[in-house]
Amino acid sequence: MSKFDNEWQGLDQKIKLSKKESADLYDSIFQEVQEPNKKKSTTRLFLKPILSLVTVACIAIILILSNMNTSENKGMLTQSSNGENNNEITIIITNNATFEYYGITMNVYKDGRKISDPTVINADNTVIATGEKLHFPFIEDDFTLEGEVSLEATIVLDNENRVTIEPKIPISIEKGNKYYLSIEGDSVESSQLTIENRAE
Amino acid sequence: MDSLQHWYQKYHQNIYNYIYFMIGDHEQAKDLMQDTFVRAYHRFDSFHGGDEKGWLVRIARNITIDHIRKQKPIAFLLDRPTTLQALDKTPEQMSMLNESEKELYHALQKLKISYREIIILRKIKEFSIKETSAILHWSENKVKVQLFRAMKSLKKELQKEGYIHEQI
Repeated sequence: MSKFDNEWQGLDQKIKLSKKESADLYDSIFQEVQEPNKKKSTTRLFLKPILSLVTVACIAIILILSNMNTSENKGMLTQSSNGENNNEITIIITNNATFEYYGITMNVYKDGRKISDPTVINADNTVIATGEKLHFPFIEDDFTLEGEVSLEATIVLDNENRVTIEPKIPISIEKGNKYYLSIEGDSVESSQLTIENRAE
Repeated sequence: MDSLQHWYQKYHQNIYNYIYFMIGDHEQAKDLMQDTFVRAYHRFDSFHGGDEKGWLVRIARNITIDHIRKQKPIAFLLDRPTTLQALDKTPEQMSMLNESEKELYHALQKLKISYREIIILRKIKEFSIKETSAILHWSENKVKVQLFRAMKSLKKELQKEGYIHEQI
């Protein structure tokens, strides 16, 4: 065994949490995962059916309202089955813009909260060519791959400058599917994220 | 809950250690380790058995990469080295490292993120090529090529600092 192997092992074995830190952190984790259960148990029994009805009614209203706002977009969304892997979804963005940029950050929101924001740039730091397709694969480790999410693209112009394209696009996702979108526009100011018309 | 306790006891030092080498900040590594186990608890349904340590490291990696991306977006975007943390953000145990271990640690921190990560997984955490490829979602060939380049780059850093060893 070489001296360096000992040093790698030394690093692995010596950089550790103290017993107290380990115990304190476990208590914090335990508390954090127990928190929802505690709250649940304090709900009075007779209130439970009423709260359930109110919750169901609220969800129904939210779903109806969100369908009113987004049904047009969702109807147009192109999706196709992802034959390669049924445990992931892929968002594919085609660059149909005529201005130059270096990459895209795909911001994914669920219930108004950002849940993922991967960035794709070319490995050689070249501009994204017209017609180039950028693939954003997501797996269960990223977030739950079912239900309603909103997509937002941020254009990477260079090291310092990024521009987020509004508005967000709401979609309904399902495991195993691919979703096709497109970046269009002559300048970053006029750029748009649109759903690509594609028959597959 | 039993699994969480069992996994914590068995793997928390490994997870902390991986995150610490990635970001070089003791307090933040503790926070991210905590997030890792909380997420593992909530995502237990997506664990289909098998390599539990690899699954936990994959979660830790996602959380750590998100953290780096938020803290140092340009360095992450261009896969550049992130700056070293202040000394007061290191664990007490740093003082237990001998000189050559310290040199190695500091050289590691100067590498770009993707090189640092492959060395941590393969050399420090001793994951196999297959396990590393599963954690990073890379092909096994890419793991080998990247490790070779990373070690070359590490050697260059060590030479720059005047600490050269032939058996890297």
